[in-house]
Amino acid sequence: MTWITNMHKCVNISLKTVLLRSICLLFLGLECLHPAFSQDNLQHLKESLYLQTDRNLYIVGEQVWIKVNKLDAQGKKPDNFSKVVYIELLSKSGQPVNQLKLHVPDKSGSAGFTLSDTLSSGNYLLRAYTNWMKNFPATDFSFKTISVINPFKSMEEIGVKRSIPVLEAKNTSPEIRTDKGLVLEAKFDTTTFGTRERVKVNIQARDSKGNPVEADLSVSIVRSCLFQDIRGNIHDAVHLSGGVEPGVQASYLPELEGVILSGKMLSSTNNQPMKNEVIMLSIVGKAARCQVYRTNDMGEFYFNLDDSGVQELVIQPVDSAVGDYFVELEPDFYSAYDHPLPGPLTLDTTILRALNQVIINMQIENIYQPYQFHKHSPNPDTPEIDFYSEPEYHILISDYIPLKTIREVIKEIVPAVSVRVKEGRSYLWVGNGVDDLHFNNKPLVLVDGVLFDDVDQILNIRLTELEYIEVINLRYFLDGLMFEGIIHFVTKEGSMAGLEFHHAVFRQAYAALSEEFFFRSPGYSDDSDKSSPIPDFRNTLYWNPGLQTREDGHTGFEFYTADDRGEYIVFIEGISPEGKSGSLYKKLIVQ
Amino acid sequence: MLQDIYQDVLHPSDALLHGREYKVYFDPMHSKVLIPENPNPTASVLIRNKMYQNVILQYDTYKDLLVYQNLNIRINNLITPVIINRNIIEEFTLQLPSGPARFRYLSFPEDQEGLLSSAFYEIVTEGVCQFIIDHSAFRKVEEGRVAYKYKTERYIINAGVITRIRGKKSLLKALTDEAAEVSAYLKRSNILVKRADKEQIKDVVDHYLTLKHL
Repeated sequence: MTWITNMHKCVNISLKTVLLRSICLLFLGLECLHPAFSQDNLQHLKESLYLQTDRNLYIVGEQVWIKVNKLDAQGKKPDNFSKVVYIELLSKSGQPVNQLKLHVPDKSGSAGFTLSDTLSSGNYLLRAYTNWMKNFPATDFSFKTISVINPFKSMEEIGVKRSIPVLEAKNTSPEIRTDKGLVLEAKFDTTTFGTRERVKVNIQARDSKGNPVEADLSVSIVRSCLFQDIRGNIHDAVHLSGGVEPGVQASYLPELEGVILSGKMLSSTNNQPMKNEVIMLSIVGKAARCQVYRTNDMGEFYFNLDDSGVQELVIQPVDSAVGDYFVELEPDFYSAYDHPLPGPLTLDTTILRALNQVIINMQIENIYQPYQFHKHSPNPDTPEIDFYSEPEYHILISDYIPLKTIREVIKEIVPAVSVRVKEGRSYLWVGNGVDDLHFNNKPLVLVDGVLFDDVDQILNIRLTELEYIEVINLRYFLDGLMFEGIIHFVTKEGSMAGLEFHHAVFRQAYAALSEEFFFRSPGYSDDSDKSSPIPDFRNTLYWNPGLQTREDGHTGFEFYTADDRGEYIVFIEGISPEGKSGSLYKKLIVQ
Repeated sequence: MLQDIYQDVLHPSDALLHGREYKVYFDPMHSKVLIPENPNPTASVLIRNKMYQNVILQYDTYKDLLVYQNLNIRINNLITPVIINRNIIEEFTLQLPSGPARFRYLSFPEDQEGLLSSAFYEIVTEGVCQFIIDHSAFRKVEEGRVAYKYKTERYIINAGVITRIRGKKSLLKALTDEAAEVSAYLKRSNILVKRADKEQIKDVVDHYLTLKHL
């Protein structure tokens, strides 16, 4: 491989060095050195979040639906700074019981997760933050307490109180509205509906002067006993410290694309940082998604990952002659719990009967939901793109007559590639695309997206396991490196066909961005669906975290009621681009 | 500022150096493929939300490629141009003889491509009614040798309907719901669509949008 040196600005700067140098100057009041980093500007670099959930009370086995709004420094206007939001569900002892890395490319995003049936009944704390917010006190994170009931475990820890419940008091009013400049109105055809009936809702958003507003709304319709708090208001919930305190050290970068995977590469022999080492991050799979980074003086590296789901990562020096090493990854989630944790759960005696019903509903739903949605095929996976985009040659093995070995395939079928043997070892070479000569240096050889330099092992992969070979017979530039050609062997399984590295490599499963989770509810537009024997006992009838009003301030949605009769709460909450917020609470009866 | 720090830490190498080398496949004496013809450090490109200005870029109108020249990248003492990987380009601007031209990749579903295929197009106006210019080249055998000829075609995409603009008739067809008003505007402004430059067509589209209150 050819290393290109001095051909580009190679910024091997420690993140801490950069940030401390740049930001601490500001904190020390040296604005004159960096006018763009005045105290005022740094205020704008602060961000805050607001968490919404479809309700407050859940039964284990149910889904928690979440919306997160990104707000600007003053916590007033929707903003779009960091693109990754970390959401954790913490137990009363501060232990995370669920963790999500949510990709939020826009000003708001949504997520969902299922509550494990191993959870104990009690109050849990949802907290949300960004990587950039980890530079500031944890009290600036966004929090929301939710209550969880596990009917299958001891419920001794749940307190019971007999009082005038908030909900009962609310029942005297059919509609409660809170507004901080945003007035929401919802019109139903009627407030009483039958089971499996279509409900059409028209919404209007206005400012306090009556002008229409384009607002970002969330809508939740749930069983009333599960909705115990209507105080949700975006601006009330924003926690902000008074500003950037002098001496605050910024050690975390904002994540402006995907998750930042950072860590250190250290020598196994002396635990010293491996400085200025060119390393490659690969993800095991059929698509080559390689990134290259030159470690800094501390042996630190930073990669951007915008993949979702659990990925198998390989981090290794590009030069296989480098000695043994080990990698320490920085934890993604904030590990301290230096903020108040939730108190004990106390339930009102007035909702116990209704709670019993929603517990039964949950069990019915968990049994029958798979049958409700079996007709819906899952979204087809979008094919992942190789970092090199289109290859010059793509050789699908099944297109050709069966040969015995990969060596034969390369000799007979693959253009521009040849195998040479030197001192008992095999090497692959790529033609330079112009004349019949080969490049002077070895190409980048990948197996299932991973840099692998033991060609003899590759040549011994059973041909029946190999799906295709891709070749680029041109020089390829990647993150400051130049490779004289690329050869990518892709197996049918996409899992490296049991190849073994001769040297120790960092290979680890890693939970990248959380996979998208969409709320689904059945429709009963035709009679056959309406008379379907599959029961529908949703406790959350409808959840829409991304409803937008148009320029005229109007929007609408529709949903179908379920089989469970009773009282439901419609809760709509929103914010305008100018930062005006408001919410609306309304009752809905299914008879 | 933070954006710059982020880019420096996450992507410390030349972000434009991401792709394969570019091989010249045409005879520059008899073909015009690359625009602008004379590469100067006057172009800009937006990659990962960061604008890189005053760089040397050329657009290969035949192969639909953006070619970058870093004068420091020399192999055998020859500057090696690099094709910037399309996946990372958000947009780029070239200084053409007709003025600055901003390009963006437009995708059209393969089964609905019709007049246009997915490629880089010059975006003159955006929104509901888009005015775009297709800079392309076609291959031709001339006096026994292969030559590539450069051409431009103008298109309006109005509410999803693509119309090639070759004259007044096609322009009025593209803006059919305000055709009478647009026709009157052409007359008032002495615009001859066939010979009009892009600024004049842009004015017509802007006038149309005003009529539509868009």
